Amino acid sequence: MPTTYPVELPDVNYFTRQVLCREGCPVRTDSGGYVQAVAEERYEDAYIIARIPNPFASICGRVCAAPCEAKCRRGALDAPVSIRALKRFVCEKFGVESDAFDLGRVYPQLRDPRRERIGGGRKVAIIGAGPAGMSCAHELALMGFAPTVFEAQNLAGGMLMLGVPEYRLPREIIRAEIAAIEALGVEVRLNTRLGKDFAFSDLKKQGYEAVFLGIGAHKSRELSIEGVQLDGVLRAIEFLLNVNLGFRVTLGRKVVVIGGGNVAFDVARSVVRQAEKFAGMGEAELREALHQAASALEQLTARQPEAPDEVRLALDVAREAIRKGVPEVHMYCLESLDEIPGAHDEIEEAEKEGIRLHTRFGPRRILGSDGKVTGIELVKASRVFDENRRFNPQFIEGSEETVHCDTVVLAIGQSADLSWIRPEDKLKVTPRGTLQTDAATMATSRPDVFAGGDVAFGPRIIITAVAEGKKAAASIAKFLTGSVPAEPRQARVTIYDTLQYGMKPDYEKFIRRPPPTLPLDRRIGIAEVERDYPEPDARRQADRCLKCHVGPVFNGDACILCGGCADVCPEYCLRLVDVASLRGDAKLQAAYLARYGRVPERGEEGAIIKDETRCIRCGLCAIRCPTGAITMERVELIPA
Amino acid sequence: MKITRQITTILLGGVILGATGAGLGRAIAQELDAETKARVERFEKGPATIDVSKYPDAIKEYYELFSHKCSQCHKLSRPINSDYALPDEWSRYIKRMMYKPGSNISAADGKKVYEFLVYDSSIRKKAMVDDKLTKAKPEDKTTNESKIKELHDKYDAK
Repeated sequence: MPTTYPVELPDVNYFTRQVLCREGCPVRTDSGGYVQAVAEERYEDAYIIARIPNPFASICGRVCAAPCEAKCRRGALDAPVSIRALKRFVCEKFGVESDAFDLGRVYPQLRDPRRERIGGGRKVAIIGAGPAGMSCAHELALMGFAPTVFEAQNLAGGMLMLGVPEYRLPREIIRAEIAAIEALGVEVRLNTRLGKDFAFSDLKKQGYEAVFLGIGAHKSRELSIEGVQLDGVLRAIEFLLNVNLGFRVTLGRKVVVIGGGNVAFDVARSVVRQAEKFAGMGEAELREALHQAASALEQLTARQPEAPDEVRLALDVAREAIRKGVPEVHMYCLESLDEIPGAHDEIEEAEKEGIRLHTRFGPRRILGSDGKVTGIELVKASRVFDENRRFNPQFIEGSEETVHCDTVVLAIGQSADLSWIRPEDKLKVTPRGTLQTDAATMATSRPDVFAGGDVAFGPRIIITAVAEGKKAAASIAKFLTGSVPAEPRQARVTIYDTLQYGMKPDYEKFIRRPPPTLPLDRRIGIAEVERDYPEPDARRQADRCLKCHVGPVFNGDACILCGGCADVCPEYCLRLVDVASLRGDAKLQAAYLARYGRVPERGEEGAIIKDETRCIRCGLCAIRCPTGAITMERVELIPA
Repeated sequence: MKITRQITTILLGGVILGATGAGLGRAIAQELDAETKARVERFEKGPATIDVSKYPDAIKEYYELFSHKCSQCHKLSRPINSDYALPDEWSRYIKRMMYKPGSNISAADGKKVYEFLVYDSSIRKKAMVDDKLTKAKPEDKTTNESKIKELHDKYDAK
């Protein structure tokens, strides 16, 4: 059986799909574009490229899970480009956290007079000031709607503010990003809780024509095992929420965190900081800290009498928080290191800080005495996922181990609080405890209500919530106005002079280096762990980019089939083959007819095919081509 | 020089599938303009030897090695008359050739061939090297120049 090759005839969409980092980003940030701008020292351009599709660029520069890096073509060669850290680098120079930030310079790039006329000032209510809600508001404001954001807490930002530890994300950056969105004409009403300060049905009466629900998932999921009710068992989200609101939490000397996701790592790393903070305090300082925690608690309880029991319990514990010495923090998770859903750099940092990670363990029961946690019984897992990659853990009977500890923090997932929904609201809830939401349009079971973020699909990464907020804004605009004009785009092709085209000398030898981090002995309290790249390092890291926007383009009319390009290609991505060995769709058949007037037989015609996954854009093929049939070209889609 | 053009159509049309048959290929080759035809001739049928009489002894030795190793698979006219000239281009090119099955070019030999080709390009293709470097970014120009200078410092008579 002769070898056949599945092929695709490239068009503009094909070329844009080659920019894998952009394809991997839920909001289609042109990551390669800003990385290349960093390499060229065009830092403000880089910031604008990063900011246009993402109102939380500065935040994502610090805490994005970076799906772009997971897709980065360079990852297949050695390691992905440090895209997220380079975004932080440019945001530090021109983002909201910098003195140079000027909304007046960014705003003209965001504004499009054709879009601004869509909304006509119509009122839209957004519930929840998290990344999904604020992104939705940002888009609606740019389309000329009048969005009002209702936020239950006394601060905006949602889980960015309440769930992400400050040592990863300084609070002033969240505040600055929110302020920049407000400056576009978004009104944010704090301390306004749905179900308490207003009913869902009130919104219609107040003139809001559509609603976006982005209330997040602020409750920790429960674990149905013996002992979860013991004093000393904490839920991750409540724990983080309390720490981030400034309250102290009693932890004891040895803490076990159950779970393996990013939330679990955040908990484990926050625990270490709490311990360090208290360990260095004298008696007077401890008394002062307790006094402050108690005052804060009084304020919060006065403002939030309806706070869930878990929060109240954790805050009660915080009142009595006195700890001495640094506790041992152990993490137990079901997954192996390969399967663990937490980011690998988080694992590395957590381990550096002294957190001991134990994989392939599941909790069997929590042990206690006099109502307090004394330990936890764990059992070894033989597997977590079945052959269909479904979550289906199997345990090894007889492998039980008991670990003594003072506190168990359960970081096994989050869920949404939907207790405010009334039958007349006509909002359907899924068996998973999320709002029934159409992933394509963000529409709920009610035509005038849309949802996004954690409440719609369960816990997700920040940039996905941003994308869903933006998608919902487009759907809301369509719902209210009948149609939304597509943003016109045109392709721009830049053809490089072959003899001048070149990548950075030795670029394929540059290795990925992470940004510097704070020394271990200075990782106390809220001090931000990750630092910014120094400028030369940032540029060198940016030079690792393979520039997927650029690629060799082949002109069949000038090709003499010498095979020189395939001969010199250092990554073996080109091949000269028999046309009869190609497999393709109707476009390929049409190309045959256009070129040959028929479908060629085996041995009659030849073709050059290219494996995009390997190309490093070195341009050797173009230099080698004796007839100039190959040119290095950059294909971009730009606003028309 | 960069040429920028705006296109508004969606299809670029068969640019990767640059397909021609052998017969059609010959027909096109005959229709090539004079400049392209000369370039094709130069690549495949141009001079296959170089006058290295004025090169340092070590570089002369490496030329012998280059002639022996590289002519196993292709005519020497190909690298000699190619438009590769900068250290980075030769480095990538030679690595590619080293990995060809049966090339029998060891890492040590590959380095010698690289040093010969970079040295030779800096003299015989000086205009091309200068042209490429003139239009390169300053730091890239410096990197390439330092690699070339390193070789001259190493081999030129003191």
